[in-house]
Amino acid sequence: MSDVTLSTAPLPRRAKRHARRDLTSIGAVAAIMIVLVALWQIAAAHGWINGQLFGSPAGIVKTAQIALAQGTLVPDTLTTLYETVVGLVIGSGLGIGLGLLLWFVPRVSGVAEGFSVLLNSIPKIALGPLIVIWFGSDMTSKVWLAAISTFAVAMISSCAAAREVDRDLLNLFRSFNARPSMIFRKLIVPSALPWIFSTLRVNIGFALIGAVVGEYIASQAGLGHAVFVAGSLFDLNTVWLGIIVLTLMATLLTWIVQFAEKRIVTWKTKR
Amino acid sequence: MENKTVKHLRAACAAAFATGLVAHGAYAAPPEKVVVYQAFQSIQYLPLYVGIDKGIFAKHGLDVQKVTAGGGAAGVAAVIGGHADFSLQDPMTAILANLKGATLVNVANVVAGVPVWVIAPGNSPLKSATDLAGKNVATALPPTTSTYLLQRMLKEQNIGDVKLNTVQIGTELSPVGAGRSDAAALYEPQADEGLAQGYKILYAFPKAYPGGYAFSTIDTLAATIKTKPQMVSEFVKAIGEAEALIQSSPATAKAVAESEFPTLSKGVVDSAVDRLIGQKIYAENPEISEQAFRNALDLQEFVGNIKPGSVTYASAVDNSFAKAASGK
Amino acid sequence: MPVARLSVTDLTHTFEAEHGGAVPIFAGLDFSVGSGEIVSIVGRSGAGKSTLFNLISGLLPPQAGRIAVGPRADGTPGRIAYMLQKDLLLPWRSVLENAVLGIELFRKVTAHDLERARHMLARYGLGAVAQAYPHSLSGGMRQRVALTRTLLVEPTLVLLDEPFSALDYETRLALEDDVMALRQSNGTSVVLVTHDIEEAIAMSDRVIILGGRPARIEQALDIKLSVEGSRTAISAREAPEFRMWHAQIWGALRGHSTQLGGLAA
Repeated sequence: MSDVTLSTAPLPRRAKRHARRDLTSIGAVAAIMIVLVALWQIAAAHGWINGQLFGSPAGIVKTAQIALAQGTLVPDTLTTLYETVVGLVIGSGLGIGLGLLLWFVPRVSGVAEGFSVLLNSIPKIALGPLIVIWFGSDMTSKVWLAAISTFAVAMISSCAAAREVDRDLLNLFRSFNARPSMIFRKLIVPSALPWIFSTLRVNIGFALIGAVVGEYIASQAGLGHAVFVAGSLFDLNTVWLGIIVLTLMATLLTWIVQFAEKRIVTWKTKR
Repeated sequence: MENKTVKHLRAACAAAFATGLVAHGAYAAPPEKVVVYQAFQSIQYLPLYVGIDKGIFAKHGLDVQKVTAGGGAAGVAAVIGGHADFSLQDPMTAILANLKGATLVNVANVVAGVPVWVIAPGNSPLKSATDLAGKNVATALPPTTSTYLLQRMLKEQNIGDVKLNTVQIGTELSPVGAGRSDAAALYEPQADEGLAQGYKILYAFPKAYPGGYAFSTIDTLAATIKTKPQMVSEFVKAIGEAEALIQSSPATAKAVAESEFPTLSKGVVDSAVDRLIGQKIYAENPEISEQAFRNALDLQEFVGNIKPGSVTYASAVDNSFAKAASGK
Repeated sequence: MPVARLSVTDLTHTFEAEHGGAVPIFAGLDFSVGSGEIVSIVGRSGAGKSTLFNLISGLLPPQAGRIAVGPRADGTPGRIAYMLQKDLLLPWRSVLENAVLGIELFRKVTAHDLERARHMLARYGLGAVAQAYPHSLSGGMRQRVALTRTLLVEPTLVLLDEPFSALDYETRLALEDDVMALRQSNGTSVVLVTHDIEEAIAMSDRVIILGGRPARIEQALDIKLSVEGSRTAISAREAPEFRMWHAQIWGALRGHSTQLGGLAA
């Protein structure tokens, strides 16, 4: 009964089973979506629902073709993507950095956390008009809105992650006479990484909301802008198109973060 | 012990009270509840507020509840969805919904002129519209009539290279104050707010449109006209009376405006109302003439939201109530 | 006279109870550990073993008394390193990187250090998994890595807090042998805090029984076992005196507990 074989044998089989389960659930979701979309198109084509007032899959496709041909879809998508990503990086970056560095000053961290809970409680959407007036109606204000939306969550969870480090591990480091900066670099930061990634995944949604809401309030371009204008003109197909592209954008960003997480946080095996 | 005068006084009061009760009793039917969705709380919509605040709707047996929708499309959507009996906004919004299958009809004109001005700070080197070439103008996020009018004016006068800074309606002055824009295209009361700070007018849109302009109207569902014609008729009559009252008594109009916009300085409110009356922006009667309708439609066709030939006056307007209200 | 590796002198420590009283844990405790000696500290739960562990390891400063770490043969300062029941391996580091962690935290890791680490890992049968990560190792292998980490900083005394109790029996025996071999190879002293009496007897030269309130040394037993050749985990348990020592220690602890049970306050 060797130690080595016991621990390594089951893992590949389990991984394969997981992969198969993931594929079947993806397949099921795809199948349900296709059925729903088909029903929608049939209902619109037969006039059971007002295809023009509610939009229809065929209408959405046609709208997409027009938007691509007119050269508006791609620039709008890139605008919102830029605002979301830059806002996410700035907001989360600052939040995570600050949250982790607060580990050095535990007395201040209580106060800082109180502030960030307060900041988090403010509905960022309510801050929207303020931000737009301060920063103008170009991309800068949307980046700031996205950043603010992600900052508080990032800071609170990194602060908590830094504090949650195993007491015994901390003591072990101290027993080896490690300086606080060493403890921070070699223990606090690596152990907080799994938390940081899950926060990032959540923040993608917040950043996107911040950017889109900013575009609703005042903008020249972007998917939120297109959706807002289309809604006022009762052009529901464009609204649906905007929603679909925004969803795809959020999904893509989440996949990227998950991919990075798998590469960097190699020690968390999925059970 | 009472003296004779007091006794007579008491009797007279009792008699008056009794008469009042009887008179009130004769009007036994309770007022009909009516919901109106307005696109914004706007000083341009003063006829509606005068109608409510001065009891004109009540006199016509209507208990009008006004709801601010936050945009023209939301108001129209409320009428379509049955949450509102009427909505007040750009008639073209109702037309756009009709093009998608809705059945809205415009029944009364409220804003019969074009309440849009282009202004710039007092110390700005800009003097007229042609100076806007190459400059940055703050204007409301489309789809708004002010922005469309600006775009058409710039095109017709060949003023090139103008950057539009589109912001939330009502905040057009902020970018100018912050130095990000050189001028602003806006409605009242922002126009008079700016003028009060020393701004000057570069271009004024309220020029006479022959036949008027259907800028903001009251619309309702065709079904409502069929099932409640009496209610629609009373509503339009009341609007007409309110509009007449504004023309005959600007002081009353200003008083209502001041109470509806308590956060604005009285000076600004009064100048705004004066300007809107003087430039004939407020409809003098609720009729929507074919020409007025056409003028509004031309703009939407210019912008490309509506294809020429897809809308007719007859399909979009029912002027009969307005005509009856004007006594014709 | 050889200098003691560890001397605890007049150790006094109290514990702040929740309701504001001060509970004395130790009042003037004395003992010492010599070079190459393995000493076990046993006692009932709550006797103060964990507190003593924290005091010796330096994680907790004593309120009064002295805990002195003796110097090495060449005069340089001695050093205590400890191991817990948890292996405390960093999951994001490989086995080799974990092994050199102790060294890394107080100076730069040299090629020589890595060489020593690889050598020691190989000695414990971990040569093949030097680049593997902790999550792919069994509990016994992980504790061996922890032991390697502990030993690579060249401690004069190793302090152990029930490090093998979470492992299966066979692995535990193997690791007991590894610890006993330490005094042969390096002359490292060991202080083992445990409530596994069999383990204490099998491994130790001396067993100290802690008890009472405040805790004091009830008994200090010199464990002599007749075995062929050097002692191993199995041969110790098969020695004729093993049962006798067990009965004596067990009796002391049980007698002690009825004493505790009789106390009212």
